Amino acid sequence: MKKAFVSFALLLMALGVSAKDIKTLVVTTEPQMHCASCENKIKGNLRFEKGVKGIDCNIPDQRVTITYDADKNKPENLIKAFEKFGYKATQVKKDEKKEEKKQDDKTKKTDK
Amino acid sequence: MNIHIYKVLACVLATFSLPQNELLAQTDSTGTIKDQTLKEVMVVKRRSGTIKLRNVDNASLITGQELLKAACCNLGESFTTNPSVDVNYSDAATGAKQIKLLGLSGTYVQMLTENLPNFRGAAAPYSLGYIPGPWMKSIMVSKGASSVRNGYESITGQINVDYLKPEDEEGATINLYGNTKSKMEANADGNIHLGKVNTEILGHYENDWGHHDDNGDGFLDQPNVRQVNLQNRWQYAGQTYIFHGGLGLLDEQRDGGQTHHTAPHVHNPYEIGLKTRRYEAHMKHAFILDAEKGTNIALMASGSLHNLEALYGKKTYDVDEKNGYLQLMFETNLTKLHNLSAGLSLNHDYLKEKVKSKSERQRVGDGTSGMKFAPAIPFTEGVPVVTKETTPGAYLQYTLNINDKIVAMAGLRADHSSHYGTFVTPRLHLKYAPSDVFTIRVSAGKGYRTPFALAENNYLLASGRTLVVDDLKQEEAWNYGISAAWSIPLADKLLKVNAEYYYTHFLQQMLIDYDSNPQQIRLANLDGKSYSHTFQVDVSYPVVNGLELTAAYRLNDVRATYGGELREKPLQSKYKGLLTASYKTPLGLWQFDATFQLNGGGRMPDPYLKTDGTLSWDRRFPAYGQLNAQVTRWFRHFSVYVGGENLTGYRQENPIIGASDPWGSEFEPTMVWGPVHGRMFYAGIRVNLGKKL
Repeated sequence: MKKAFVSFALLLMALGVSAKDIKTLVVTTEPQMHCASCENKIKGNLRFEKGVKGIDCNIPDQRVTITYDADKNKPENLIKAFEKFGYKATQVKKDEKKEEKKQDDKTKKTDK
Repeated sequence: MNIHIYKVLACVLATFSLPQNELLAQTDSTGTIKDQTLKEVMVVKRRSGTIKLRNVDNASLITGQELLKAACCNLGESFTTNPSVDVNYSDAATGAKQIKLLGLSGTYVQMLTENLPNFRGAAAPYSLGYIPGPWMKSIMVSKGASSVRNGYESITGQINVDYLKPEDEEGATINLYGNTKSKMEANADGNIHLGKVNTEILGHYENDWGHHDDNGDGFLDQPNVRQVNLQNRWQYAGQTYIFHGGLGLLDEQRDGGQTHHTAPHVHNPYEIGLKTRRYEAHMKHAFILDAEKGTNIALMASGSLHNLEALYGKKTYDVDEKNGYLQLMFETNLTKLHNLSAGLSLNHDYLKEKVKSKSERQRVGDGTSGMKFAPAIPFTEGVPVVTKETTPGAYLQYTLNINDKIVAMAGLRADHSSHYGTFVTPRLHLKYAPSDVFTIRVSAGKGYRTPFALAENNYLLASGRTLVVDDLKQEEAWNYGISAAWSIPLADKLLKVNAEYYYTHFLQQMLIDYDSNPQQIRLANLDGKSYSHTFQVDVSYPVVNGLELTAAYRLNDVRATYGGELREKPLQSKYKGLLTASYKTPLGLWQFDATFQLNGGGRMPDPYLKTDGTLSWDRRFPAYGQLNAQVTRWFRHFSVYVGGENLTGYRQENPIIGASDPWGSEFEPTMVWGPVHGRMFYAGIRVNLGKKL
């Protein structure tokens, strides 16, 4: 009985997890991030937006990566949320990311 | 574009407003937060609450993050999670607390606020309660001989408190706190930016309305404290001139002893009442002469008026203390490698003290009133005694810095006290960091201190013993230290290990001698040896994302000569163990903290045989553990926290010896070695308004 209950609970949890539509949104910010206090400000405010699961600020690349539950929030709303604390966010499209990655790779090869 | 410039300026200003020692810390990778990818190096996952600074001296910064791990109602409670600093009650009846660093009394730690010396003399016994926790931005604890820049007084180290800044993000915070010991607190801070001028108001109110006497000895377990504390601070930052200044007011009433609630049948209750009023002001002017070379001149000044009217049963002690401090400082980087700092300082202390016995038949000074003074101290009942000391001084400090890998700092200062004459303070610090993994520091230095016997120790008047005060000499000590720090990459995270050894050796010292005569507490000059050896190891590691564990152990060997015999210092734990665990969920919405402290046993002052043939108290006190825990939940504009202190409920059974006869000579409330109150729970809320997070 106990085993059955545990299996059922695990199944429910698994379903719960799999049911979530976790997505990532990558943005650049205006003004740019310069130090830990800028990062603090972004994280400290953004963490209370609906569905946000993780925030990663990469200062050298000037990118903020937001992991969120797409069932609970939309990228437009998350971008708009930056305005609440005086920032403007612009989404970095996948193509741009790929393009930049290629550029980076090229630079690395040339460096070598 | 403009916003962009402002952002950069804000970051630069935030850096500039930090104390000098912190400037170097800005490059410390531990200051960064979550998952920062810098080229190929993965830096720490979560900001550490306590940051080991990259200074040449052995300094740590207790950040606002660390202060949120416990309720931290005031400065004294902010060291609960710190392995280096101990906080002990000095006296059960008045609730006087003191910190201990390197196993020695807090008077040997120089207390600074915003890099200016503060809380001297009469302010010292209760000063840990004068800085409300929510007002603090950070605390810097620096061990061993410190820089000569701030004077000659630091012997075991320095503690510098940085308040919230007027130039911080605009907004306001309100904090409300209540605990099961019937204490409530309200704190508020708010700041506004008016162009280049920024200002801030800090407010604090606390009150105890309970009459807790858990051990049933007829005395309040803790005194009831009612405190109002206000500050107004200002800041101006121009291109070449920066100003910081502020005014403060504190009003405190502290009532302890027997009350009508705790001892309803006592006709002549033993009452303790301390009324304190304190005003303080400070200003700092910095003129940047050459930003590139870091050449600047700073003029700093502070002043305080401290008035205390104290009643201990039948004895009264009143003190009016005035302090003025002026400092002129010049600093420049001669080249990239060489830095020079030079300065002048002037300190003035004025104390008007009056001791009185409430009984007309007794005369102060002959011992019958319970007070006795050396012939050189002209205390007569009701007649005020004035003590003045003016000390001008000058210093020079040279720092060699080779890429932050080899740093040597040598300082020398000369001061002339109107009381004790001229004296010289040399100090030397060396740091060698061959790699990011390992750093070793060595320091040696001298320190001096003028003891203000009664002003700093007037709580001893609560004792039934006769208080004897000798004609005290200026305290003088050498401090030597060596510390090694490792930051070892381990499974994508950093294992931080720190090991240190300090030796403090007194040439002159004011000792509180309970041992030579069981009828007396004698504030005496050291006659023989007095030293402290401390060895500490601490390790911290973020076990999983968001969970940081710290373990620390310190061994103290503190000895002094009492009555011609070199003995273990009484009421001092032989060791301290500390375990802390702190877990913050990935987005930082929840935080769970737990701290376990194990305080070793130690020697009690020599007991005496009572009339019934039993010993007045045990010869030694035992080791004891203390557990604190707290949970915090953050919401967008507020956070709530609930927690408990001393969850194991361990309590010193009879902190007040002879409580049944407080008018007798066996009455002794100053034999405190452990917690005086049992388990306590608390809850609080912090509300953020404006842009504050």
